[in-house]
Amino acid sequence: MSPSPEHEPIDRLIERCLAQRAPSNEHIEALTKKIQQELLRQPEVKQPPPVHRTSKAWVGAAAIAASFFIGVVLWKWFSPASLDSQAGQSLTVASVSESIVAGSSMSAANQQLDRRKALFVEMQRVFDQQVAWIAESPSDLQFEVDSNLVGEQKPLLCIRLTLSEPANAASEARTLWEMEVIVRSEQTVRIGDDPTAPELVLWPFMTEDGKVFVDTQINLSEPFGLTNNQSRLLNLGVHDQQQLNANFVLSQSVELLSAPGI
Amino acid sequence: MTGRDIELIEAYRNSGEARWLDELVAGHVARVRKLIYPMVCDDCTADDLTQETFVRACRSLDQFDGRSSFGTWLGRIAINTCHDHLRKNRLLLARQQNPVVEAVSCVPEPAELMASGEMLAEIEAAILELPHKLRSALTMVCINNIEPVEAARMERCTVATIYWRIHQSRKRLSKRLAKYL
Repeated sequence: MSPSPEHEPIDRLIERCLAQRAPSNEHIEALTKKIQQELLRQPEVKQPPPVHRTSKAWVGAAAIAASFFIGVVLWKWFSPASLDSQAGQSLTVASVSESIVAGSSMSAANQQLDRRKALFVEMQRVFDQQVAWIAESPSDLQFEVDSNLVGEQKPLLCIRLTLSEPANAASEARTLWEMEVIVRSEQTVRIGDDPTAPELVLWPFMTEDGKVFVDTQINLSEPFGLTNNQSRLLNLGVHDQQQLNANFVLSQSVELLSAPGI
Repeated sequence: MTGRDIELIEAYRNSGEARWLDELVAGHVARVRKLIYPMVCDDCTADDLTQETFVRACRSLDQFDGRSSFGTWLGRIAINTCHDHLRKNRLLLARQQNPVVEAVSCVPEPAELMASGEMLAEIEAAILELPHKLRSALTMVCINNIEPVEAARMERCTVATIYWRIHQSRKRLSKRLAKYL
């Protein structure tokens, strides 16, 4: 890219500055040796990676296998028995801005998590480790494949968002919208047909002390007339509830499916 | 370099011998470090992030499919590594808290100042004040001569966004460093 004339001076200034900061050949050689030694200590490098080949036939077969697999998954998840079991775990919204430790059976919860993890692992296998995220709502399952996803070694999280109508004297709490997202820490998720106003934009970041910062933008102007942007620091396995206004309560929870090396 | 890179990767995959990996690494260290340095403006951090880039790349070597050159693929990992580091360490904020030396009333010629190091420090401070998305666009395209199309692929954004980021970077730097221009 050739700089426009008005910016040539600033480009030249930076160029001159960085030229003075350029490392010596000896520095680069020493750094190279240090990196080579460090790589030898990496378990992944001690054992060479498998030979990788991509062909059109392979991609076609993978697409067919993926379609079949997704069909089976959807059938299993959304069969009446599955929906009944999911309904049994839906949240009861009663209080404002309180945190409730998940109280459902631990074994059932663990099974759910294992199933989510298995889904992600299988999708990764089928799509050549390029699945960016998977999002499930009661009526749909979406995922994104990104061929630029390389070198990603981040914790894998399962984030559940539920928008509810709070209970009142006339009616019980009612779930209006829900979404469960399987995503790696620091990966941005965008869901929705309108790129300028996606239904959900979500960015999780797992901190070193095991908490998860979740940046969420929800745009449900249709049908609920609700838009909400917020950032929350969540503890693993704990439901976080917020009363957004008189009509809506947003619940969020996050689980760790796997960490790098597991 | 690209053809040789592919040969080295294939040789390493087939034999597992570290010498192939060593040669592959040696051919790219200087370029990766040059890409990383303007993102952090600190020698030790640039060295650490260069090392981290190669560790990540080698862990993911089985994902390299040859659709882009190895250098491009590595550059993408380097930029991701920088963004991760900046996000976590808030380096920008830390540097912003250090007061930058105010300009003296009689500014010497830029060439003289450059040699003194004072101007270097101020230019680097100005670069670090840029939001890191602007900084990476400037680093890739203006400093490392990476094509904007390639930079857009690395940053997973449109080419127009890259051009906009470069324009914003230059505008802010020109204003901030006006006394040296």
